[in-house]
Amino acid sequence: MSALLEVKGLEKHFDGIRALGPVEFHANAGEIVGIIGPNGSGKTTFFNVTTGFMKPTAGRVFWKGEDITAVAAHRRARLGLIRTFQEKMVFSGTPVRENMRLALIQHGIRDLGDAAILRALSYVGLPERTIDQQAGDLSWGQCRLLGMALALVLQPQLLLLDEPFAGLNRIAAAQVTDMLQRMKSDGIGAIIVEHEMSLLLPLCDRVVVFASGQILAEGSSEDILKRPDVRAAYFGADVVAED
Amino acid sequence: MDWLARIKVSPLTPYAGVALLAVLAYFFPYTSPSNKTLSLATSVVVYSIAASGLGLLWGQSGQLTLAHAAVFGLGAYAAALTGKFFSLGFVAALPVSIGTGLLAGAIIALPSLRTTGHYFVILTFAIGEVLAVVQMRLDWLTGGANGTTTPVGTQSAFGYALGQSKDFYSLVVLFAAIVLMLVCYIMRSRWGIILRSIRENADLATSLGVNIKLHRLLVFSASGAIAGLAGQLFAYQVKYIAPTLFTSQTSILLLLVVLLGGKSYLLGPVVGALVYFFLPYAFDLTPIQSQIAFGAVLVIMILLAPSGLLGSIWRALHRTRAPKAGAKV
Repeated sequence: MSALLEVKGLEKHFDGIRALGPVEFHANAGEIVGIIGPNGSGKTTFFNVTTGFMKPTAGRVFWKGEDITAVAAHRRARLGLIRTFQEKMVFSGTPVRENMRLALIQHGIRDLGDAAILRALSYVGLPERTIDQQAGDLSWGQCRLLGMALALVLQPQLLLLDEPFAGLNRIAAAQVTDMLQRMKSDGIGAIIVEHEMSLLLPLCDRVVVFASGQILAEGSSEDILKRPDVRAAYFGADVVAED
Repeated sequence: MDWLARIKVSPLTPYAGVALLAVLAYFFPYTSPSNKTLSLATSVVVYSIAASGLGLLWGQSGQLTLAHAAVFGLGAYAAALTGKFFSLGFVAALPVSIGTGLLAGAIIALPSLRTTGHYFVILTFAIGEVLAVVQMRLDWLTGGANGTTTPVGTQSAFGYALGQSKDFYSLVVLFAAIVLMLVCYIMRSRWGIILRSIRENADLATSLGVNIKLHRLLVFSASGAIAGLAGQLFAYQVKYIAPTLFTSQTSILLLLVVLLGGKSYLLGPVVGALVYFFLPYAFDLTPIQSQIAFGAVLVIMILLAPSGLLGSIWRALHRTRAPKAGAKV
């Protein structure tokens, strides 16, 4: 299987301090890759550099074999490499309808009528009545779903999701899980950064563990947490030793 | 207030509203107002146009600038100086003043491609002040601190005698109607949606493929073009311009006008200009009293009604529906 996204020797330094790298990583078409790791391990920095929101200090990013390291973030999105954010999920000061219209415009769709919007809302499990609400009035979970709807309207080939389960209750988390499973069955690949491993691991084809800005381990969901080095990175060496 | 929700608004309603307002304003001189009232009404319309440019920039795309008066001034100087040195009449000077504003807007936008937020506002303040100093120092061209006059003479444009206050007022109202309809079109267009997305969340807009640098450049240019036009109308209204008229203090005045009416509303700048010019007149306030009053109004508006008078009215009309619309699910 050829890699859709590939990064080689990717590094990011802040004021001389290395926050990321060097990282070698790839994601195949239709594959769901989970990224886990303790806070400060470089997961979000990896997202920012990969999607063009930050310039790498070193290394290259390839999309379908083409070097996109110098390509601006908005152009990467147009290529099909779309990301979501942990906090900045929606355009909160405008109605849901206008949120969705922006995504439709960006996808080059001429018809901005409600039918296309309602289809997208229903795909992610948002009720029809939300179309008239201000996005800022939605619940946290609904904002999360709307953020994903915005990204999915653009028909991404690879979606980078930054903590999609953060702050969700069980019902909302189940809705997000359903939507991710639907995405997977529709052949849309994803890289998911997440701390909620009980929700993440069943969805993933492969899991990558970050620690101190580098990839510590990589493997299947079943095997990855059995590794002592992963458990030590996550829970601390003392806890693992007591086990 | 459920009846509000049931009203179906035609896409043409805002344009019809602007047209109706323009007709009412156009026939205002037929009520035989005093010279003072007509002069104030002309100022309201000219500042409404200038503030509409700022409203488009600030209210729609979220870009706050303190150099808007400088662009307004460049439009005024472009009209006055092309008249003085090249004998260009009002109509021939229009593309020059609009073009000057557009270009100035684009140049001011350039730093916004690298800097945003408070630093950008400080930068625009500096740009505005530098432009005022340049206008002051280039006295061979601009007349320096003494300013320059606009050669209005016996010119007429589109059948209106520019030296006649009633005719000039009517012409300015027509320009205001065109500008408001243009801004209305932008607000309701796909570009309007893109601009609001940048205002709301520039990172998210980028992640959805919006080239925010390009759109910032375009909206600054459009706003500058409107300010340039307003500048020319101002130069022909007051017939004498000087650098002190276009400092950051005037930019703050324009901000106040936009904030008073409501920065996200099409008619916000018009309402703001009406209040700004007619309130001191109605209460017979001295300039010092007006400054104190508007300082207080500015503080009150920011604290209690940041969405302006129109925003407050809109919210009051929808108050009874708000809990339903805002229900968390």
